[in-house]
Amino acid sequence: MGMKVSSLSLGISWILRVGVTVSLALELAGVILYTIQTGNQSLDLSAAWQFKGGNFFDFASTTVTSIGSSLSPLNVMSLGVMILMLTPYVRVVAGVIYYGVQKDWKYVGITLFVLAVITTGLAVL
Amino acid sequence: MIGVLEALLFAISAGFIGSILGLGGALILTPILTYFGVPIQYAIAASMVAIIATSSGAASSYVREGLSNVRAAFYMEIFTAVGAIVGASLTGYIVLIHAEALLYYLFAAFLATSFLALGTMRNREIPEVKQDGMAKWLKLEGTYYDKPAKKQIDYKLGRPALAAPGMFFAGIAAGLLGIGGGAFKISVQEMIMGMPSKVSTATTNFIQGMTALAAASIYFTSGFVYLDLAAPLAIGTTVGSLVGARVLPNLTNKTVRNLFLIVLVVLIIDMVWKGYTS
Repeated sequence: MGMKVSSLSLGISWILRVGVTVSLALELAGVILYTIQTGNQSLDLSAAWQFKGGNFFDFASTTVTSIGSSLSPLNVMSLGVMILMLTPYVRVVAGVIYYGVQKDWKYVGITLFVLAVITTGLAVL
Repeated sequence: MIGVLEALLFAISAGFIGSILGLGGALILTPILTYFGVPIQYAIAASMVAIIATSSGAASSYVREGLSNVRAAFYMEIFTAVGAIVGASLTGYIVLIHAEALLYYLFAAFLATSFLALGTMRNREIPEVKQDGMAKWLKLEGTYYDKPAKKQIDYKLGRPALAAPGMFFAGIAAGLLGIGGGAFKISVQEMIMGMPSKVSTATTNFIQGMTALAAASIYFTSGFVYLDLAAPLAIGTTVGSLVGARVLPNLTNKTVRNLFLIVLVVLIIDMVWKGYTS
């Protein structure tokens, strides 16, 4: 189409694409495993499928340690959701780095602030 | 209660419509899920996780094509992210005091305000903008290739200070109701900042991912996220939205606007009916 798109845009596009593709592939694998194991039964909204008692970083560390011991539908879906939630996080980090390299301090400040807010949200409790 | 495969199907349809309109799909999906007996706070939380995937998937195309204004998006995320955390905390509080009915009424009310704003104001193809000092300081401008018009369009944005409280409110609504808040973000961008319709849809999809992550982090801590609901919704809305993102560049701003209005009317009727019968 012959128009200029910044390297930040291309980088962000790549981060979003890879993050979403990998996380959805895992979630799809989890859904297929779930359907094979249970048939297409009603959704199970019981405590087994809910993450409780911690923040996102607790969830992430539990997920990473338990995926090694068992490829259960829950563990596979958890890994997918974890990667999904890390995707926008990584793209704001990319923004900080890009504007830092460009020495565009206004936007370093703006992206750093967004990063701080999101990190606080993920780390509460 | 629906099964995982039905959840997947509903999510695909909602994702397709949502992506074309910049709504993120949850506005359509949450009423469907609650209709089938999913408690509203779990529908809200799963939709929010799904929105991260939907918006990021659509935004990856928009950003690469130069339709999303990344600078304006980072600026607005300051306000939507803080708002989303406030809103999601409010949802936790509402559930804690067993006032879930309030969430339905707020959902309907939010839909109504988006409809009123867009129905009257969203008519212009390319808005004229006079940039103020702050907009110049933030370098809020951009350019994109308009496929139907077959030409490169340069635009400038204005009034970022006025857009800030609008974006904060959009963030609160998003976090509170588990919706992207796309309708409201689009109207702030177009009516206050003077953003062209297609750029506004593309930029909203981009911002949505961050807003949704901020809110989802709070739902996580509140224990509202069910993985067997979040997973099919994330897959379905994203697949639907990717198809939508391929269709959007070929539509005129007028077509997008008219479709937007029709969907809003249907959803408002649906929520009013649900509020009336509950």
